[in-house]
Parts: sequence; C-alpha cells; structure tokens
Amino acid sequence: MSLILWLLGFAEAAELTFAVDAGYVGSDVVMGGFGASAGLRLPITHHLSAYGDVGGRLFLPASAELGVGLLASGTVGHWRPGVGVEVSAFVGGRVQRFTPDTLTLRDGPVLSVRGVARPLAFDQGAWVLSGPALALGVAQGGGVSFNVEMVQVAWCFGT
Amino acid sequence: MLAALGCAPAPELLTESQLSAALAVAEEVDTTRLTDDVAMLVEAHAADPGEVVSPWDRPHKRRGGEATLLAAFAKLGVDFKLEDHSGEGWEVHNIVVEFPGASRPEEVVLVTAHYDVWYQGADDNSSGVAVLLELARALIGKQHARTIRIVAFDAEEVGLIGSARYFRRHAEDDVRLVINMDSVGFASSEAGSQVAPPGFTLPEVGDFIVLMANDVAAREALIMGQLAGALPEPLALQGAVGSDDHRSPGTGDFHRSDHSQAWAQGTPGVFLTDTTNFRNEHYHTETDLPDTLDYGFLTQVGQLVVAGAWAMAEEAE
Repeated sequence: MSLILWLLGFAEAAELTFAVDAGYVGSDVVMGGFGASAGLRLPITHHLSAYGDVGGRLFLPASAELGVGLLASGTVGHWRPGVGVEVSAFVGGRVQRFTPDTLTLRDGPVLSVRGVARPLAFDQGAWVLSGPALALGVAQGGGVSFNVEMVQVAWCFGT
Repeated sequence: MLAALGCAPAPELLTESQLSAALAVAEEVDTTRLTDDVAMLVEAHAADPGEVVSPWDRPHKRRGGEATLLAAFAKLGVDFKLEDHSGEGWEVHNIVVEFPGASRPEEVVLVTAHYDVWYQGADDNSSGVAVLLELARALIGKQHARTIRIVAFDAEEVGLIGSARYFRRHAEDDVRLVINMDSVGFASSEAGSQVAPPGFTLPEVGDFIVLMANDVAAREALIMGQLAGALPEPLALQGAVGSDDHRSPGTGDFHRSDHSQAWAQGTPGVFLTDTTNFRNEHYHTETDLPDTLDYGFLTQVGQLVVAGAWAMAEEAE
C-alpha cells in the first residue's frame, strides 16, 4: 500500500493526552524544566493525527511549553509506534544570554521545530499508554530544543 | 509582528560620548597596582590565623584583610567608615567608602566585593577587593551626578551575612544598580578549562568574565556588555539576564555571592565572576595564591567595573 493510501485510512477517535515530561530550549534564551502536559490528539486519518498540548515547566524560571504537530502512526497488534513533526513555543520565565557582540534580549515566545519519535505506544480499549518519547530539533536562535516524555496516557473519546 | 516573534525593541545603550567618558575614567586602572594590592591583601590574610568555623573545616579569615583595607583607604585619603552589623553571634564589619553625587546624591550606584576569605583567597576575593581600591583611586577628585558607594562586605563566605545585614539596614536607600564582584582574576586559555552549570553552555576556554543580572537590571547588563566590548582590549563577556530574580532551582549557582541579597529586595544588580569552581581548581583551597591570577584579565575586569560605575553614576534623570 502506498504511503498516501496508508495515511488516508479511516479516522479513529480523538484522544485526550496527559504526560509527565521535560522540555528544554537552549540558545540565546535558556528555558525549560520538568513538568507535565495535557493535550488533544485529533485523528485526520487512520494513521495520521494532529495534536496540540500545553505543559508547565519548573527548574529554570517557571515557563510553559505549547506544541502543535502531526503524528503518523502504524499499528501492529496493540503496538502503535509513531513519528512526527511539531512546532513548539516556550513562553514565560527564562535566562537570556548575550555577549558584547549580541546586545539584544528576547522577550517573546521562543519557537522550535522538532522531529518526534514515539516508538513505544500501546493501545488497550479506550486507552493508549506511551513510554519514553523524544522530540528533538532546533530552536529559534539556533540552539537545541528537546522534549523528553517519560510517560503519556491517552484516553480515546468519540468515534 | 517583530514583537510577537520575540524581537523586543533594543534598550537604549550608551551614546558615543557617554561611552568615551566612561572609558576615559577606566583608563586609570593600573595593572601594577592591582597586582600589588592582591599581594598586599593575600599577605595580610596569610598572617591572620583566622578561625575555623563549623561546618567548614578550613580557616576563615577576616580581620587581617579588614585592617589592611582600612589602612589602604586611609592612605588614599578617602572618607570611609566601618559599619558595625554585629549580632546573633557574629561580629560583622562592612567597610563603606562613599563618593557623593554632585546633582543627585540620593541616587546610589553600589559597587561591592567581599573581603573575607578562606586561606589566603587571592582570586576569592582579593581580586574583587583590589578592583574596589582601583575604583576609589579613579574617583578621587571627580564629580559625577549620582553617589558611588563602595562597600567591602564581611562574612560572605559563611552565608552572605555581611551583605544580608547591609541590605536590611539600607532597604530604603535609592540604589539604582549594584555591581558585585566575586572572584574576578582567574582566566585560562586552555581548551577544556571551563565547565558550565547544569542546563547552561559556556565556551570551553575559560578566558571570559560572566555577568549575571536580575531582570530589572537588564538594560544595565547590556550596557556593561557594551562597555566590555569597547574597552581598549575588549573583554570577552558572557551575560545572562534572568527572570524572577533567578530564584529557580536551575539558577541556584547564580546566587552564590552578595548581590543575591540585593536581588532578594528587587534591587537591580549585576554580578561579575570568573565562575570560581567551574574554572578555577584553586577555589577555596590554600593554593588560591596571587601567582595563579591573570592580571591582564583582572585589569580588564577592573576597567569594566570602573567604566560601568561611572556610566551609571552619570546617567541622565
């Protein structure tokens, strides 16, 4: 089956997601920390979903991390591995870096583009349990941006 | 649109004429005097038996440095006073030298360093105290709008006691900026000589000064960066401005000196340091001696502090 046909499979139920995770962005602005996230995953097709989530971060000055993305997932029995791409925005408390050559500070959201790997997701009835997942990419300003999700629980609702 | 993307308007920095005026005062900083002053202070600490204070198992030395610093200020002919902050089991003497402002004396630029040490304390913190002496020399006979107050704090090493009591007593002062120095004389050109606290990156060669500021001192921090880049020999500087006065667990290392007491009051403050144990293997050991310091680097830091104090004292209303 071609990728297009695979992606155009039947849509399934929407999911509410809850995760324990950590997010970090380190460029001319350093933000992030440990926390938790909640979000919504909406099926576009059987194998493709769009999602958005928001998380609180504590360790560096308190901040929030907002993300939207697309996740393509396969199904092998109860196993639902997925890969995707997302855009995140860190807002709130930060440490702003500068040197004599870069005498500017960034006050607004810090955007990132990240690739997502969610290899260990398993469904059981209305629930999906996901183990460690990683989003890794580049932040505005050129630094690293990542999110490490220790565990995510998703609850399927609707049809 | 630019604001939405986080590109905030750049704060107003120093004009060319303000920059030139500040750098002219900074030119008076002298490497030989800094070298001699560090040696003088270390000699005084070496002759002081100090006191082993629980829970630290090493000699904490204060009174030799205090007497030497008072004598040095007396020799300069500047007005100084010993502020007694003793109590709760601690005899605490902060040394204060004030250069009153000509037009706005109630507005204060505070320049500080602690004078107590472990062992002989060349980098930590005779280097910072030597810069205080150079600043005093540079200010003699000059007029500036705001008051510049030099404070050498006692009892920093045992819990920021001197500065905590100072800022508590002077809570009503109109302090426009605190420039605090702690360990500003150690630099290395070797690759791998610098490490960074968790969550942060720093260049791997430890040849720069770090400047940390609370968010209400963001503009002043950038001005210090501007001055560092404009010195006769530009000083490499890594700046960090933090929100919430750096009170988060990940910025705990940012609080490791007397400026922390100013930040706690919401007072604008910048902290200059060579990062101590993140670079200097002699930190808090008996090998923290004068010959481990880089006096060219210390001179640059001294120029930055003098220029910064001058620029802030001459700020327009």
